Amino acid sequence: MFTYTLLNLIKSPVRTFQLILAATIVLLLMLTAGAFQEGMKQSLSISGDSKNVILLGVGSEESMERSEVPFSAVSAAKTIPGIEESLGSRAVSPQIIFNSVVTFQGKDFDAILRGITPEELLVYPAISIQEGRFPNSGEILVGKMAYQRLGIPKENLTIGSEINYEGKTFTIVGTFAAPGTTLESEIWFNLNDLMAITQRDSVSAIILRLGDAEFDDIDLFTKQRLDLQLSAVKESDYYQMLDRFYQPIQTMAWITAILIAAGALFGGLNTFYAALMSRKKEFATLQAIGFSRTKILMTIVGESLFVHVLAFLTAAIIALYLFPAIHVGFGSTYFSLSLTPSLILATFLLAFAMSVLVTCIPAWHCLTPPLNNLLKD
Amino acid sequence: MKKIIMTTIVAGLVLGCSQKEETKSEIQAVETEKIELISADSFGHIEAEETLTVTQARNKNAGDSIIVKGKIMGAISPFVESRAMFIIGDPETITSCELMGADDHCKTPWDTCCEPKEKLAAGTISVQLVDEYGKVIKQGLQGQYGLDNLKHVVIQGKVSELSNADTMTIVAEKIMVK
Repeated sequence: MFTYTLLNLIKSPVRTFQLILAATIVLLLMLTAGAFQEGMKQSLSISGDSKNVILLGVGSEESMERSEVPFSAVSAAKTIPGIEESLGSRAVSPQIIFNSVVTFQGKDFDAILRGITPEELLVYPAISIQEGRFPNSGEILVGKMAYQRLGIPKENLTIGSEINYEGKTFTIVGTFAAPGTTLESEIWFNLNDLMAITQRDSVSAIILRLGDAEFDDIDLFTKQRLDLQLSAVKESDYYQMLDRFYQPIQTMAWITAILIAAGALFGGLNTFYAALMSRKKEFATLQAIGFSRTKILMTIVGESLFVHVLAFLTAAIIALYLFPAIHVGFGSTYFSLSLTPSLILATFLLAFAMSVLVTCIPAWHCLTPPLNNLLKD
Repeated sequence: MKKIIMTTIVAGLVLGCSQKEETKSEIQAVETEKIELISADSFGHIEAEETLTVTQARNKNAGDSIIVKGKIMGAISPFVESRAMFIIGDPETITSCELMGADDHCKTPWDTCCEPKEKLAAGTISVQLVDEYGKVIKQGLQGQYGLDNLKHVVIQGKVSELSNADTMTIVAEKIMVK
């Protein structure tokens, strides 16, 4: 019976190809929607470190870009007991962040700019400088996905290249990686450079890394120093809030994928129906020579299972090779489509369920009518 | 045989229950210990001939004894969750959001998001309870002895040594909830 199933698939290669293609489209769409969700979730969740606390200006707790923190708060924050310390430096990182336009090779590009100090590497231990070094005045560090954000080829944004901002030229002296975070799409300046150019005497935020201190100690500090008008927000909470902001987009991605997949599923169902109904007489003959209905049903499901497993493998291979190269951008967030073992398993289970589902109606129509009626058809 | 089985079951149940009781009493002990961090003596009636407003109190110096009245407000959350500290504001100079009339302009009714930062800094004071070593007690005050957001309170205490012209903290000796 297994040989019979296989021979049936080979007998009409065009029909088999059509079936595999239809199923591949459905599964690939589901993988895409799932990978989109995972990529966005990973990007936002990794960006929030549970040991980090952000000090923001009162009233700007939802946006680092909008926030203003007086520079005097930096030295005050360094006095909080229990902040992590490394080689005599306290993990207190003041920074300015905003979207602006930079000029590269005579063209204007929209970019996320962040002014930082070396303490940035203390509050984000996951960040590594891949090439080059930390920037001094007049120099910049670019995230490894900044070229995506700027929309230019990767090889153009290398060490030694120059970027103009507000009439001043900055040389790229290094690239950094911050796996899975939104930071990788940014351009990092020396904090003093950015403060001077933008004529600011305040920073956007101060990020602290907790050592022995607890979040409440930082909250206590902000409420003792009412003159600074600060709010303490756990970094994980800040990015969870951003995640909630992106929730409708994620839901929309699922709904779109489900709608397209439903269309493709009905297409596949139709193809399967036509393919099986054309073999109505063949199944009746098999019944006439003594094969039971259950055995024939098993053959039909077996064929469908084979088609769907092939479709799953095709979709999974395409996704494995293609998805890491696809980068999606939303405002200040850039991420790659991300495949996880659970997503691949879920897609395999979907393929299995589909293989049974698409055979139900045609099998009913082919096998349940009386044998003499089927043979007469 | 039946008797042995029954005895084992009964013994098991008794032991299980007594272990549960032990765990319960352990939790109660921990809770009692927690509650005892904040003394009941810190709350009660304050007799005062003259009570200062928050704005008036800002003229006092570090170490001065003080009796000040105010309203618990001035931030999205005026209390620190597990520290004996909260913020009071001067209701005569600062308007909390529940009195503004319009909906959805603040995150919480006790926030003062519509006030300028300078006015806020001048019209608010931190109040804290400290232990015998002068450290802020590691227990939240919200819900203790009627203390809650938007409540009017009178504080008797001393201006903390940490205070200066820009910011003021009062180390409370007694708190009265109106």
